[in-house]
Amino acid sequence: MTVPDADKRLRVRVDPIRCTAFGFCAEFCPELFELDEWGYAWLKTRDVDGAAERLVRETARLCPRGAIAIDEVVRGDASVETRRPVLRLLDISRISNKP
Amino acid sequence: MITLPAQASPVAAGSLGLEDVSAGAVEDFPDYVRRGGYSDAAWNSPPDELISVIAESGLRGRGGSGFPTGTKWKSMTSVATPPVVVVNAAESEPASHKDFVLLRLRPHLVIEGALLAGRAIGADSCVFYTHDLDAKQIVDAAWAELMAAGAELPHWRAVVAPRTYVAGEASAAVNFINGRRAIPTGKPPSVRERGVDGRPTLVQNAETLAHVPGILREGSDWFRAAGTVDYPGRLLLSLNGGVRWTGVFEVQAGTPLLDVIRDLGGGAPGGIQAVLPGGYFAGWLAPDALREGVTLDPESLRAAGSDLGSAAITVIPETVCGVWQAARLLRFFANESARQCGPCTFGTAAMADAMERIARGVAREDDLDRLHHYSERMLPRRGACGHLDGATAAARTALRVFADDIASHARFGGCGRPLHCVLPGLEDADDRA
Repeated sequence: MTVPDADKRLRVRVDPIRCTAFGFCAEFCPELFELDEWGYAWLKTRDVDGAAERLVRETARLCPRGAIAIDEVVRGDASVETRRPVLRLLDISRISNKP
Repeated sequence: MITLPAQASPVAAGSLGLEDVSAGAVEDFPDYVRRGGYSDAAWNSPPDELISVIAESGLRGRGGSGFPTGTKWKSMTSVATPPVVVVNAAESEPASHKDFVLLRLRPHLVIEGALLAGRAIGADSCVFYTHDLDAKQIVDAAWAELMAAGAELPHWRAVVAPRTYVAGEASAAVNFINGRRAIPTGKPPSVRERGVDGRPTLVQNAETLAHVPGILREGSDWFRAAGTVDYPGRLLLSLNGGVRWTGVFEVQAGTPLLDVIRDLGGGAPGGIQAVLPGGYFAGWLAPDALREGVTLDPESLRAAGSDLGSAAITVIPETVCGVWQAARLLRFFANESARQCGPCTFGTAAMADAMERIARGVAREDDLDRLHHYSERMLPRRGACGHLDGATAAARTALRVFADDIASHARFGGCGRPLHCVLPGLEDADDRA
């Protein structure tokens, strides 16, 4: 297992036009995704710690609509939100049994 | 002997010169040239100089978002394929009439602005985008005059889009020009990267372009002599609602809003209960802000909880129920949703339902909490375009501005004033003449 890059940040986006409320994301990664009262994906935060990369990418791959996009944030990017907490997911054991 | 000032400007600083055009007449090509239009000064300078003068002038987009025009143009110069200029004259705001008045009086001003923008960024075609067949005919006629005068012109097309609210958004405009429905798409890619025919596209509001020829002819200092440091120049505003005189006026940016209502609107005979200062998407403004001297520029209005938007001002008199205006405005957002994004489709309707129940005095126990939850936490920034954010701003600011009325609706089932909507374009059916 590779050592996660401590400085790596990911930015998660949900394409609201593509999202049709399957809800798999909130089922699979409730740390990051919530569903609103109509069942559409609602991000708790958009900047995610690099340690959670596998989990977030797996969640994006599972979306039947391909509505979840993940960008790598360049270090020193001024647009990274500092007000809101960056989600740190240390428990990535749930997907460690996957290839 | 009378000595004239050495360099007298023909028009006041930053002005579009609409007042000098004889009423009811469209300014034609010879008249426009006589008043300094299509002058060599602007047309002989190199493209990068055009961009730097516009950047120095501090001109900001007049269509709603207030983005710096110079920055926008600069970002277009690094593109590989020749870009397209789209003149956005689709005035989707029901309360806004400024672009149409501008085109009715001085169509060549907008066309020259578009041509100069095209020259600055190296565009080889220009698309005029509007809701209004009259506007299309006016600019087509003006373009024909230019062609008859032997001008070397880019490719030109004028299109008339359906009169919906979201059709005025930049990506919706590009979609319609490309032969699809006039509804927004998500970003990225932005229209700047991939727009008309897949080419980089500059979408600019008609009034913004109309300021360009004046700035390039008279210089950026002339433009900066009016307005504020952050928002220089003059702007066109549309005045509606409970004032004596409604209409389109040109003022300096930074003019106190109360002066606009008193001096240009002739006062508000029914009192001022609330104001929508920037069109329907910028949110409500309480009358306290007017007394505290809020001015017509984005910084001042944002500090007061609203925004300048497209400067379509609507004054709500004390004689009608304010909560009902807020409810009808939210219903407008629900009706005008493109129904592409789930949160917008359902969220705008849920907010309108809750506010209407409050206005009618049949609110459910959790309606007020729900409105706070929807507009402050759940829905902001979740749409592909700004429509949902406009609706949440309309709800969020209404909850603050009409807080006392909402409380009396909850307690007594109403505020004693008629549920009579005065918002332009949203008048209740039985009120229409």
